[in-house]
Amino acid sequence: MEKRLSEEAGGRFLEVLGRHEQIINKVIRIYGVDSEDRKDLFQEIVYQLWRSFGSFKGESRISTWLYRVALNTAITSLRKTKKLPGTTELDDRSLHVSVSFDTPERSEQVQQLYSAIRSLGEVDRALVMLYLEELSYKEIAEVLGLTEDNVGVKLNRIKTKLRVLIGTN
Amino acid sequence: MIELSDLRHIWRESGSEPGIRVCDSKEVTMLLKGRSADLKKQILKRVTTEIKTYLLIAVFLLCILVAGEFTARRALLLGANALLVLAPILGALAYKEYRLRTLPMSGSLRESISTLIRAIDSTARLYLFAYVATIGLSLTLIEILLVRGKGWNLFTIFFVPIGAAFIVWSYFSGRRYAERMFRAYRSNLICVLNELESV
Repeated sequence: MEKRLSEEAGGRFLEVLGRHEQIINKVIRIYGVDSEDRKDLFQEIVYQLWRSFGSFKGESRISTWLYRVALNTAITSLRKTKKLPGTTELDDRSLHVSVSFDTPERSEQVQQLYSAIRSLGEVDRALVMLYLEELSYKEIAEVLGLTEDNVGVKLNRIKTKLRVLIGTN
Repeated sequence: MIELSDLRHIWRESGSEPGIRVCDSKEVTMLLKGRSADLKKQILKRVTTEIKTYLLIAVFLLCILVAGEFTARRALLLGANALLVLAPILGALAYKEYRLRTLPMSGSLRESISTLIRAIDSTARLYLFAYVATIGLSLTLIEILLVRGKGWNLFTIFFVPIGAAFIVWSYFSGRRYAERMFRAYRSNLICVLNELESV
């Protein structure tokens, strides 16, 4: 049941984890309900990444593989039946992103963006995240199992929603 | 007002926030071990709940056998045989629960959700099978022993339709039990799948 970290594989895994931990942190900020849930989700993602690490054959970019595992884990995790009974009830405290940006306006904009993304559906959250991470339509389609056309249509709809939610131009 | 074109820039900046980190291999190994132990605990908890249900059935069966003037030795022997049947069922349940929690997450979201739903349905079917089979087997055993001990009489004949009705009841109650166990999780997954398929 438990795989041990061999020195070589463990080293590679740690390197990948260190290089891309921002991705995991963004995913848990979007899908975690509170700090405890985020911590739990972080551990679950790392565990799933390790379990899948051996089967990664390099057919896609390592970051695309990491998005796939992290998003799949966040969306399908069993923990949600305990804490997220179907709806997206947001805990105000969990919306707080404690970043010290140059200006308070910037900090507020980040809060606004995260809060808008968290009010979207599960799939839309993943889509917008991948879009903001500048993945191509092809890569987004591959991660979510959609067609590229479908990704385009969905993204247009989400952008309209975001305009309303954030009050963008 | 935020410009839509500015969103990516804001998003990139948000990545600079210090989040959760794992620093060295010792920490990762501890995390993986902890997660693996949690997994074992969860599975053990599920299987223990099932064992309690089957123990109740076994006690019920034992009481009937003893009340039916079968010797304690014979009743215990039957209990041991029942355990032999139950052990592989419980083993299969534990394996299904393990599979459900450790399915590979490296496919696309659509693939992962479809695989999970199939695994949930298959686990629920096994729960139902285990439940109905145990009750069916117990009732058949009682009937065989009653007929062997007392021959065919009004009681043993009457026991057949009662037993059959009880097995039918166990099927429906078992189905409700299995559905209740996975309903919330399964419907969450179906919602996501519908969201994926909507345009």
